[in-house]
Amino acid sequence: MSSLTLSQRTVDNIQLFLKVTILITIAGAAISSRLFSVIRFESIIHEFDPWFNFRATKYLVSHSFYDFLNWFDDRTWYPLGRVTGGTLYPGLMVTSGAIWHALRKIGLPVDIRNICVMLAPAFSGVTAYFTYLFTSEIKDSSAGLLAGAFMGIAPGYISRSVAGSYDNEAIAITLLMASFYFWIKASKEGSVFYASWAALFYFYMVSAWGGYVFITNLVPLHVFVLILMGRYSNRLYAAYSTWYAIGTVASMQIPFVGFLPIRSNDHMAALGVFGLIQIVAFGDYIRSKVPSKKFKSVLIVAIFLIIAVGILGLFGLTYAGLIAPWTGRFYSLWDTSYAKIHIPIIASVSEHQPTAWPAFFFDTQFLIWLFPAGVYLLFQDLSNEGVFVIVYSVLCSYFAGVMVRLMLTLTPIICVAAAIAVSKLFDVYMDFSELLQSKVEVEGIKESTGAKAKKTKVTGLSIVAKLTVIVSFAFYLFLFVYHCTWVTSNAYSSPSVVLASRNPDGSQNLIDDYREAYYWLRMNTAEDAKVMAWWDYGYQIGGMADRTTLVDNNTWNNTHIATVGKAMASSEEVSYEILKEHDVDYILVIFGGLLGFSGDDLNKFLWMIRIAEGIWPDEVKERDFFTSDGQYRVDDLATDTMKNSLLYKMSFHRFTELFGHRNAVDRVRNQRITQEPDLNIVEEVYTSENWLVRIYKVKDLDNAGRDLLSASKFEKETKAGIKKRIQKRPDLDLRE
Amino acid sequence: MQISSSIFLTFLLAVVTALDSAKLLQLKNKGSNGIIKLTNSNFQKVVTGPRDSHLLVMLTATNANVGCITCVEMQPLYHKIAESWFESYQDGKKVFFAEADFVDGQRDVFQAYQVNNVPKIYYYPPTEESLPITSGSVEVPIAQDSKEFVKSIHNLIESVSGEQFRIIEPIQWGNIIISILTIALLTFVAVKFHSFYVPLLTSPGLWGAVVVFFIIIFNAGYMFNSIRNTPYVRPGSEGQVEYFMPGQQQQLGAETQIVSFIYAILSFTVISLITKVKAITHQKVQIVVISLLCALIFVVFSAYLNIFAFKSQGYPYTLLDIVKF
Amino acid sequence: MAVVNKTQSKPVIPPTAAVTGSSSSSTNALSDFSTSLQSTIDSYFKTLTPRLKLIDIFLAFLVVVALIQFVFVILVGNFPFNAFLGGFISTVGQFVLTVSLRLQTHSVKKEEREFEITPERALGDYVFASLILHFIIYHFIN
Repeated sequence: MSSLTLSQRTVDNIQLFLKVTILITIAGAAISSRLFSVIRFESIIHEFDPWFNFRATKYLVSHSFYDFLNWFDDRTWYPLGRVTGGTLYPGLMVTSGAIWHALRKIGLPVDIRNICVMLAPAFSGVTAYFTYLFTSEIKDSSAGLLAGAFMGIAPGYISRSVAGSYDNEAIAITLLMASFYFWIKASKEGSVFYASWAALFYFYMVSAWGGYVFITNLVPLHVFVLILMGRYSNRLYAAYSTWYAIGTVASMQIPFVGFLPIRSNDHMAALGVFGLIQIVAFGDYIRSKVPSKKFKSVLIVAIFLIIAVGILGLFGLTYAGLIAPWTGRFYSLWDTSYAKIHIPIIASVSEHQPTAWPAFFFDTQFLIWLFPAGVYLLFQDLSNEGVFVIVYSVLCSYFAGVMVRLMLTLTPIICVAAAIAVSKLFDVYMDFSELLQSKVEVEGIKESTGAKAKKTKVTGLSIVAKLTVIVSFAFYLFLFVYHCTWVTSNAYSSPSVVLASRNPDGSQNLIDDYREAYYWLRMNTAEDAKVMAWWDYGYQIGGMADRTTLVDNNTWNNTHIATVGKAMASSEEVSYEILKEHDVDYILVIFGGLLGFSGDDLNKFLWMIRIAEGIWPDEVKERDFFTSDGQYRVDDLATDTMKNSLLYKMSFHRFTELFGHRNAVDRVRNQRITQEPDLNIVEEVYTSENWLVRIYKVKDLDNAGRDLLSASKFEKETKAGIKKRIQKRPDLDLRE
Repeated sequence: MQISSSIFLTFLLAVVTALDSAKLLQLKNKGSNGIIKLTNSNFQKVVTGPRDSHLLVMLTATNANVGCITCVEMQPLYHKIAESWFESYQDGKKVFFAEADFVDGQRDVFQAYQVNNVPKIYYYPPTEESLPITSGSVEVPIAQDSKEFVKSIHNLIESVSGEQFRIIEPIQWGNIIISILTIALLTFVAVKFHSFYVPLLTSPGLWGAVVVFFIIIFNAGYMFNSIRNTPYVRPGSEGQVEYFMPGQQQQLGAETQIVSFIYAILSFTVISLITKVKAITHQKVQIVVISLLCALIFVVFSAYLNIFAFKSQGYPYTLLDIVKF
Repeated sequence: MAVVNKTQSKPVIPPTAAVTGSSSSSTNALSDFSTSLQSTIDSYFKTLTPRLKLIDIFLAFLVVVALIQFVFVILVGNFPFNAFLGGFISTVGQFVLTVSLRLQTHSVKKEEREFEITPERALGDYVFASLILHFIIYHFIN
């Protein structure tokens, strides 16, 4: 102990005080770094999925919990509807609903929107705390504090948890870390109590995010590896059996999960290891009674036989169709070409794309090269918890490489491993106890390290050498903080509902076309109007405009999505039939040609075509949309199929007019548009300020019984100039 | 002229020898798996009729250079259905399966069908007169999913023939024997060289190296390359070789190697700082080594940041300008 | 399901294991095995305390209940599937919890105590986990 005069008790108190202060600071930093978007724009829900979650939360707080679970939503997937209550993970909505009720009870009525916006930052603070606990179990509290700090500000986690990003992942990562912490604690102490907590957090996780399968497989894998290494202990038995028994039955309470835990292959590893550990425990019991060497060989043979029988049984059951085969989304992790061939809708989601190396650095900065070092250091005096970190690292590195979205689950372990590396480095180089100097450097790490008095022998490093290392790494830490702030403010804080651009003079210009258009829909259309748009905008239309949509981001029915794709990609006559069949009143298209916004519908068009082609290979052909030399063109050289498609016509309707019929340039595709497309079956009713959102109304059948082509031709010829009034049909009201 | 005469000839031939199910059965038995192989010489006779049986024809191309993944996937399923059918009904019950594979070089078949993409499946109902090859048939849509595919064909056969049958999963004897042999061999090797590999397998250093290796290559975008089949390098505008491609969402094969090398150097240096340097007893040497290692980290990290700044334009935090683009 | 069943009927394992021994190696291993089995049983009865006896009878009871449910399902059919599942899992869960309690309170290796908790604490944990388990099962069955 460095401080000679201080008693042990005082030192402990100071340590505790410092730890609490540091943890509060970390939580503060974690929360405040996620508030960029609120400050820059306003308190608003971001992106797409969060809009659905927000809508579901509003439903939850305005109805009862049981209504929510039995919610049949007829405002989406028209005319099919969606059994929403049974097909969502309710954890997120229930959490914010509970917070809302609790705040009201203590006399703080907060708008549910603000709770939803602030939920992710608030939980990020909790995540940092659990990361601290987790790492403390693996090394010590100094590594824990570092890991907590890293986790709080690492962009890889911020990307999914900025204010307003009200998505399942916002609380799922917290729950992931909590489950892992309790699991480590349980397996270390063999405590049934902690294992029950691990199971309860696992249950919470299952209720919140589909990624719970990751825990379902990682924990059994950890146990399995330990058994293979000959590290079985009765503590492991108590922890795992308890966790599995309670966790499994608890996970079956979620309607969306149902009987999957005993049926699907994803969960079989856990069941198999559960069986294995029973047998191993029995064998261990016998061995303790009979210290016979020969028994060991019998035991090994028995174990191998049982594994073989288990694998055969698994194959047999799958073969007989009793266990559902790998579900598509997770299958794409293993066989990377599977999804591309079979499920275009999965390949079309950018989150399912593989990760290029800059993304790893972008999301974790210098932690990415400390990560392998940290993992390697764990191999020196390998503990059971260390095995967990190693297994997690390898597995998740692979998954994150395959799928960009899984960067999120890799980030915590990168933070943990890197924190272990840095803290070991500081253990060696920041031990100034010989000098009796209190050099407060880098957030009190010195205090806790010194107090632990880990190192027994004096290393004899010179002060110059120590300072060199410490200063350089302190510098990297500062650089890391700057990097994180920069990345967060530049890349991850855009709500994507509101776009920001810079004017030539450098001032910021907010482009609010989406909300403008959705608000228009809300105010100017009938309440039961059906709006057709590509599925990306389904949740936003449902959430902001409160109108019935045909397809949305839930993508559960591929055929229905393909129908919308076909309507967009076909000629007017074909489309009109589809539109009428589905009672479509309005069509919403995103057009970035004027603004230069590259994420518009024409750029997503190929996916619409591909998905439609998957269902109607004879009617929609991707080939027809490319010019003979294989280019994707929208100008005069575009193919006739392209020019005749409804989406093309709706995108470029009156586009040339805007430029006075000359020099009309599509700024996304950099191509010149000269011809005005001939649009007959729909009429333009609204175009937003920057032409980003265009809304068309589907014309009703002609009064005189003409088909719409000849009718509009007639009108153009007579140039009556009087807009045809469209009688509103009394739509069938499906609600309630 | 030639075509019409050939049709006429077949017609004559057909009148004389109307293709009954016994003949088809004979043809089928020539093949090994219940499939009638269509060849340049026999396909007119089989397909055009008159014929008292139902016929399914699959056109496929399983050669690797065609690159038709669906063909390779669907062909065994088609065979499986045929075999299951004949397992249930030895005499065929007037349903037969034919196939033409582009591999076999029977070009005339494909020319006659004038297909430009495969796989395709056609269904021919029994006919009393000779019909031209393309008009006597109905094209069967091919489902993308293999299960759906089997189900749709199965339903089709059952509905046209009015007979029920079960799809029998063939037992892969070859695979089973190979796996048994492999396991036996592995067990033998395992027992024989026990003393050699056990120390290796239990050495944490080796495991650590392997694990770190995998982590590094995965984090350097290895999976991206293997999924996207990225080129290793690319030619630049002036004909020089380029190893780096700007843009955060893309990379070249060489980038993964360079970046994983950088990660390896940095990690190794940190590990040495933590574990190795302590062992040096001489104070001066120690200081020199530590400073050198720190300098190495600084330089390599600077180079790395240069590369990153090149890939993501506008990144502000670089250190030294080591690599220039 | 089959795997669960196997673990459930754990006390029946020795016969299967004996078969393994005979099939995989010589009769020497078999005799080894039977002697070791005999000594296990002997030492089991030697160390049996009343408390342990209580736990073990409870374990045997759970196994029997689980087996009855399983046989019932095979014979009658699993119509209310969650009812069966709830019942079955509750016995399995209670079984593993009780085994954990047994391991925690009566460490087999006397020289090295594996668990750093007192028997009282272990019993408390046991009650806590059992309550959670049965609450969930109760909710599951409705």
